[in-house]
Order: sequence, then C-alpha cells, then structure tokens
Amino acid sequence: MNDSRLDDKALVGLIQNADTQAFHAFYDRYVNLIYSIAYGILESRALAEDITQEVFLRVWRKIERYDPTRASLSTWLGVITRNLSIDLARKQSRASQKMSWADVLDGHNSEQTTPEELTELNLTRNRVREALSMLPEEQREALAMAYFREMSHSEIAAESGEPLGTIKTRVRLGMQKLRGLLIDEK
Amino acid sequence: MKDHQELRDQIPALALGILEPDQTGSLQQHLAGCPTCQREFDAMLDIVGHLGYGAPDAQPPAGMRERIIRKVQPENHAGGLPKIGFWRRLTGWKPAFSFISLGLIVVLLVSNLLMWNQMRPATGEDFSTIRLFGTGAMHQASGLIVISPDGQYGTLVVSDLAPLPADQQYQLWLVRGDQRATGAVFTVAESGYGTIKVYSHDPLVSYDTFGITIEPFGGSPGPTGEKVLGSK
Repeated sequence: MNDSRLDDKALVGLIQNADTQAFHAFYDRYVNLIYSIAYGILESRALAEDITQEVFLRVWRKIERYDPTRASLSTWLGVITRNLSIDLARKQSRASQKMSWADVLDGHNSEQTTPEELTELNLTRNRVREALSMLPEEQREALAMAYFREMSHSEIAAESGEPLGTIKTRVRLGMQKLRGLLIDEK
Repeated sequence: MKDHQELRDQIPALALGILEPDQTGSLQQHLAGCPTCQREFDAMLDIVGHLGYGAPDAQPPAGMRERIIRKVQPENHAGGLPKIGFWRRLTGWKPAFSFISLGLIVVLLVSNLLMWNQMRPATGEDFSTIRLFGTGAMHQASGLIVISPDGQYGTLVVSDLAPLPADQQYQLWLVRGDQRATGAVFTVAESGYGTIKVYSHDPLVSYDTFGITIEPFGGSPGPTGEKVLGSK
C-alpha cells in the first residue's frame, strides 16, 4: 500500500518501527506546515530549514513522546515548531517584525482550491484562515504578535500604544472566538 | 487571592506562552486542582496548534527534502533497526538456507542449555536488576542497573535522557538511609542512550535505593541538582 494514503495513526505506528518509507510520506504531508510556521517566525530560509530539520529528526528519534490522546499530530507538530522557532529567534535576537495574518487572509479564498489540493492539511488551513478572517482586525493583530513573536500583554500594549487591559481582552476574546469556531463546531 | 473567573481569563495567554511570569505560577497551581479549567487550557493549546495553519505559505527550498531524508536512517532511530519479526526474517530467506539456519539455531540453543546447566552449580546465583524510572521533565526516561551475582559490580544503562550542556553531567547516587554515595558520573549520546560501569566500596545490593541527578561536570560530593531517574 502507498504510505501516502495511510492516516496519521498508521504512519506514526510505522515510524515507531523505524520504517523510512512511512517517514517519507510523513515528511511530504507535514513539511509545508512546519516550514511555513518556522519561516513565519524567523523570516530566514536558512533558519527555517534548520528548524524544519530539527522537528523531523525529533519525530524520527522521539515519536513515542507524541500522545494522541492529548493532541492531534498536526497540533503537536505546530507547537513544537513554534517553540523551537521562538527559542532560536531569541537566541539570535531576531523575530518577525511585520508578521500579520492580513497577508495570509488577503490571498485566502477557499473557492479557489482545486480538488487535488483538498488534502486534510489544506482543508484545515482553509478552515483556520476562515476563522481568523472572522475576528475583528485588532484581535487578529494582537494574536499575531502573541503567536509569531510570543510578546507578552505588556509588550503588545507598549508596541501598539493601547492600554494593557484592552490588549488582555483582545487576546482572550480572540482565542475564545477561535475556540468556538474551530473546536466546538466539530 | 484571585477568583476563579479571573484565573480562567488568563488561560488563553498561558496557552500562548505570553502570560507574565509572576502570574504563571498561581494559574498553574489552580489548573492542577480544577478539571474545568484544565480542559479549557487543553482546548486553548489546541487552538495554538491550529494557529500554525494561519502562517503564510512558504515554499521549502529545493534540496531540503533530500538533505533531511539523508539524515533519517534506521541506525539513528530511537528503536534501532526496523523490528522485523523472527519468522518474517526466516521465511524471507531461501528455503534451503532457512532450514540450515533453523537447524543451526536449534543446535546452538541445545548446546547453550547444556552449557548453562553445567555452569550453574559454579555460580550458584543469577544477575539481579534494578529498574530506574524517569521523574519530572524526564518522565519518559528509563534506566536499568544490572548487578553481578556477587553484588559487587554493576552496569548502568539509561535511555531517553536529554543530552546536557557541556558543563553538566549525570550522576548516579547509591542511597542507604540518609547517606548518598556516588556510583558513576556520565553523559549520554544525542539519542539519549548511555551506559557505564558502576563502582562502589560496598556491595551494590546493600543499598536501599538509587537515583540520578544533574550535576556540574565531573560530579558533586552530594546531590545538588534535579533528580531525573530513581528506583522505587
């Protein structure tokens, strides 16, 4: 059977058994997600490649650390990638200065997706971008600063010139609204 | 003291990793005792995972696939080479070779059993083992001390311990009452695997428990760092 058709659970099982073909299918499935997150935070192709490599090598060597009862595979990979990227950004004293969801949402149009692109990854990507587009712009911006730059409430307040309480509310409401759109609908 | 709702409002920031350090401790304490808020936190972590899909599409550079795939080899997998079953390996060979191999295996098994029976009266006892269990941040780690039949010598094997910075090493402690004696100072490979001989003035079987801590390079006179493995 072609490994690319296997679901995540089956792929993880094969990777636990050191199956390199399954790893290739896993790589092809998740490389765009991992690389895009790393590049979004680091804005450097070389550093994004370093992070992508580190994430995949961790999967290969430590896949048993993934607990499917706690998170989906893509969520787990997304959190690892973000954490590693932000750590590296801090070490290198660099972080995305202009990252915003606006660039993503401007080009977002789920109706343009061709049938070939309707993989689960693309479907989830469209769903997340759709949800982000439904947030008020100021909530989106606060979340972008928090997600890509891991800025604290007070740092966001200082950079945006808004009161601290306002920023706290924007982050909280934005996350709660996304929860309603992305999780409760399941 | 903050009320429940006030703490709950901080959960999204904690999941994003942006909560101020002075507020993190009290919220984590609250989560440990509040299943409702713990569920909310798990859900918010899931949202943080989803946010990655909102990152702008970036095209991986040409050649990256080959560079990464090249580093992924069965030898550097945590579980070693692919676990192909015994019968699958055997039946994968040519029939004549399979029969010859099977015959050789049977002969070796029988001769080993005969030798084991002959040697058994001379040793009298067997090797003993002590299992070590990961704690805290290294809960996934594990270890085993194999002790010689006379109880004097041991070998420590550990797996899934995080490699340490150059100025730190792991140290094995042999515990009897409130006394701590050093048993070994060691490092682990990048894979988290390590093995080292254990030395002690007294028989290893005379100790109550065993523990491994993180210490400055070269080891400490007594444990000072975080405990990462311990016997039960």
